[in-house]
Amino acid sequence: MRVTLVLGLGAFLALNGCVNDDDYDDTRARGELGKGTFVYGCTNSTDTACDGGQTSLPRAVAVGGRFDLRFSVNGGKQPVVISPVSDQVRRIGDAFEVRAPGQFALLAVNGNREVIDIKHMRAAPVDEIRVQRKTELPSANLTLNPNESTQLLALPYDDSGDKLGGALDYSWHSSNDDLVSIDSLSDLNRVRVRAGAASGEATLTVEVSGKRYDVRVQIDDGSGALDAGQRADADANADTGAKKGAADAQVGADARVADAEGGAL
Amino acid sequence: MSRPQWLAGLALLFLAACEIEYAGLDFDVQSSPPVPVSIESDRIEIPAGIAIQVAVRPLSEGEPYSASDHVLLRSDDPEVLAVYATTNGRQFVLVGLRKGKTCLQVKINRHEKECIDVRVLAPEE
Repeated sequence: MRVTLVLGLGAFLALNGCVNDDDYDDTRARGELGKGTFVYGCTNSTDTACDGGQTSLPRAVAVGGRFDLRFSVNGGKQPVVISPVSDQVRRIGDAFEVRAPGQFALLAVNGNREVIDIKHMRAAPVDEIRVQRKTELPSANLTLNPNESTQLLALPYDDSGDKLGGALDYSWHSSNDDLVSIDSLSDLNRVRVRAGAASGEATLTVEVSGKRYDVRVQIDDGSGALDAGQRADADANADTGAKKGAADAQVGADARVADAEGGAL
Repeated sequence: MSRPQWLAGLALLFLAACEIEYAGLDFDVQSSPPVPVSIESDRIEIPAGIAIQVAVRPLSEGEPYSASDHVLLRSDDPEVLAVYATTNGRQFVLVGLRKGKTCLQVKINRHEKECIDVRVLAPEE
């Protein structure tokens, strides 16, 4: 009986620990005055902050990105969120659009325009686009087998390696349709690409909100070395990309711990 | 001097003696913005894009202000600095909007007492 109780207590504590881990996003979304929670919303499927059905407050939002932010309090009329700093963020319809990099404040206000709570977010320009295949880590490298067809997800990152939130306009082009072709609609951040029968190297250009990012794609039948880089001027090799992805994941985990320790403001 | 004039003069003198002498505004910062903000009684520096909640307490020489004394803060240039009220009459939210200089008008019981220098810095990236 005692053993059962101890095991039960252990299971409860373990589960409680998991719940605390899941509370991580809530901590980050809490208003700076502690009056409620800011709830991030994606305006369309190109916002990778909502991947996997989760809607978490991103560390930063891309310049040019669009997002929704609401404020939730327990009971009563819900305050509305406004952007007082229109040079950096302006409201367009039901969404906010980021216009310039930097920290910006959003205010939850009541019907009398009195501030109930404050949230600061960071806006950053897209520095690079990484592509993700299936559940692999986002990588700067892409190698396809001849005739391979796969779905790619483009993810925007800033120069600190933080994945950026915000819905963006995407457009994909291939430098050589014989080597790699785009099989699906090319105006989303998810596309299906198909490698040709021959080995070689092609460039996928991902245009994001008017700026172009090149992804070099190696089509290799296994007889040669694999090499691909994300930027046309980059010399990254496959190992570098994999290590970079792993390092980013570690940085993310460390930051997550730091955030949790930082707690409420 | 007739008697009514003499009484009126005395009443004015009495009222003047009762008026509280304003000695400045004390700020208590109540939120933690992600970048440094400097809030002093005589000078405010805040980066564009940043909001901060402050509680204010008017200071006086001699007789103190009471809770019923109405304090109002207003930006001299709303394009540079925004001031928002809160549900508490002594708490305000200051927001740096655009790089520039302005001042923060302090009004107590509708009388302007001073205008505190404000510098809004370029946005922090």
